[in-house]
Amino acid sequence: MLGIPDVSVLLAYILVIALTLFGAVYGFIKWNKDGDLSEEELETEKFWMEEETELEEEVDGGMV
Amino acid sequence: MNLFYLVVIIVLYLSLVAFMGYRGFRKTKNTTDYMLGGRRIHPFVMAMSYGATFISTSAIVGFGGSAALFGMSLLWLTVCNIGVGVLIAFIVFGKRTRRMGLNLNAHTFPELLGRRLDSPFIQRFMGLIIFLVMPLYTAAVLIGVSRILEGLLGVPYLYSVVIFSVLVSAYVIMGGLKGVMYTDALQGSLMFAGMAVLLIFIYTTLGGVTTAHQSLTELAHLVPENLKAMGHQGWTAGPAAGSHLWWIVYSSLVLGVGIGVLAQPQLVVRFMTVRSDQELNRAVFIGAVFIMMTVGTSFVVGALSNVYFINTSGKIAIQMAEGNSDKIIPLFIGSAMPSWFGYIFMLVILSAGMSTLSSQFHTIGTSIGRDFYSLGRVRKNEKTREVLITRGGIIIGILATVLLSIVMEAGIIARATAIFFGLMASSFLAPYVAALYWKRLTRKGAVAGILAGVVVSAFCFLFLHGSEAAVFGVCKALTGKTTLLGGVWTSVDPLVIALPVSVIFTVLVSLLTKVENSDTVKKSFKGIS
Repeated sequence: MLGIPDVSVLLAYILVIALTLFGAVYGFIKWNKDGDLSEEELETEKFWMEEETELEEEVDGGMV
Repeated sequence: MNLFYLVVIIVLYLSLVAFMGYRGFRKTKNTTDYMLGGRRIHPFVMAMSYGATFISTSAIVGFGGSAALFGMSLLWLTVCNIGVGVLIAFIVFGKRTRRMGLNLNAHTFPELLGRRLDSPFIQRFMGLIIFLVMPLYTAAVLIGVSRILEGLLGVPYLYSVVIFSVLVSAYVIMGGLKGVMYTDALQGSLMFAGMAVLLIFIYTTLGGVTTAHQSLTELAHLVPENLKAMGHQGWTAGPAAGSHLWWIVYSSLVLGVGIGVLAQPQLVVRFMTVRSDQELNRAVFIGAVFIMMTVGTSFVVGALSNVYFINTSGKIAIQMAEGNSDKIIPLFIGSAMPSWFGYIFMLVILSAGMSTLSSQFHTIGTSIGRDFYSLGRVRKNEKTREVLITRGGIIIGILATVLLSIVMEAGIIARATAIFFGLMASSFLAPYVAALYWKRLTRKGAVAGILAGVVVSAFCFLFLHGSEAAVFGVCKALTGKTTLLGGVWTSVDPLVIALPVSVIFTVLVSLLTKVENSDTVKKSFKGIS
């Protein structure tokens, strides 16, 4: 099949294509899912940002 | 190649890269921007950056050359690259890494583990190991890029090494991770387009998919005697089970790199650069297609280059390259492809090399500045020093890389990559997975797992694995023999021994000790079911 007589190499060739298709379908189906952050995550994110901003403001010249 | 066109194309390309690096620089305002891209990276940029960082000149030139030598059994590495490197990495580990990274405000891979276990030692030790060993992998990438420039343009090897290092370090030092990821996205897009053209060209030139493979199958009788003795059975057949070549292909190249990707510090950090799981879902789509097109193409083209060279010159690829597998892909591009593709491929290789190098230099810098020196817990008057040390670390890493690129032997690209990937996986994978999934993991368990991985890997490299033991010469000096054991043991990759030992130590020591930091465990797993 496909000019490849060895089963293990043929299997690898087919798996490469199959896994790519799986990844593409997975990404497509889940394209718009899991986008909303939970309250907890939003709070955590805000907390770290505030802490970092506070620290950066205290430092002359900032990070870069 | 026309020198005028060449200069114009390179100047255009570098201008685009400089523009992207400048955008990153302009948008970098604080530490989170510099180290994590502000946790607001677009899924396309994240996926392309992950892919372009993962797939370097090592994959295209080094492993493509290995495929020309060993055959299409290397496609099992592409299976791992997509199955493990994208699907498992993004879907299984990526989402937890992102959330736990946010919970702990971790900015690097060592910092994630260090904070999860309340262990400055873990963060410092991991940072030090990365800082010391990563230049080996970085040098492998740099050698690949420089060999291409040497082969295509006749630029002296040493000049290429220096020019590349200076170019890349400029935008890494200034633009931080944002600069790195923006340029990665551009470079990844170029790589995808160039490799797609190459794939179509090779199959079209050789009469289609089945005919091309069939022609390669019929060359089995031309396998050199030394490779036959190692277990080579033809370019469309796997190596003989249990042979030296079987262990080299499946344990070092396929397993070492295929599994090793999960514990790569420069890749793990990318999961922490996106805002939500949605970006990771979208990145799976882009990442899987990208890896298939780049690595898959490189292995197929590498193997099929034997058919092309036999048809045109009566020699197989490794004979054409005078025994240096790193030269096969450049040679094939130079002789088989139309001259216009030479320009495109040059950009592909520049992109593959620069995208990986930039991330490596960034990781080398943060490993010493953030992980080893400051732990991210600097007092305000030390903040500037952390940045200086990070940038100093990048410069030291560059110098070490340039030096290694000059002294490392020919045909080393794929091996050096496999060594780095294997060492990272042996040392860090078990504690990393346990940290993400197992609340019972203790600090002592993680330390034991990391140390066991490092020590066993080092022992195997010095005393068991033939190619490294011969170079280091420690075993020879102490025992009079190149390796302690003979037979296939000299070809078994250290990962096969070191990773299980690391897993056993991580689990056993954790079970025998108490969790020291219940509050941190609770904080780490907040929002993670």
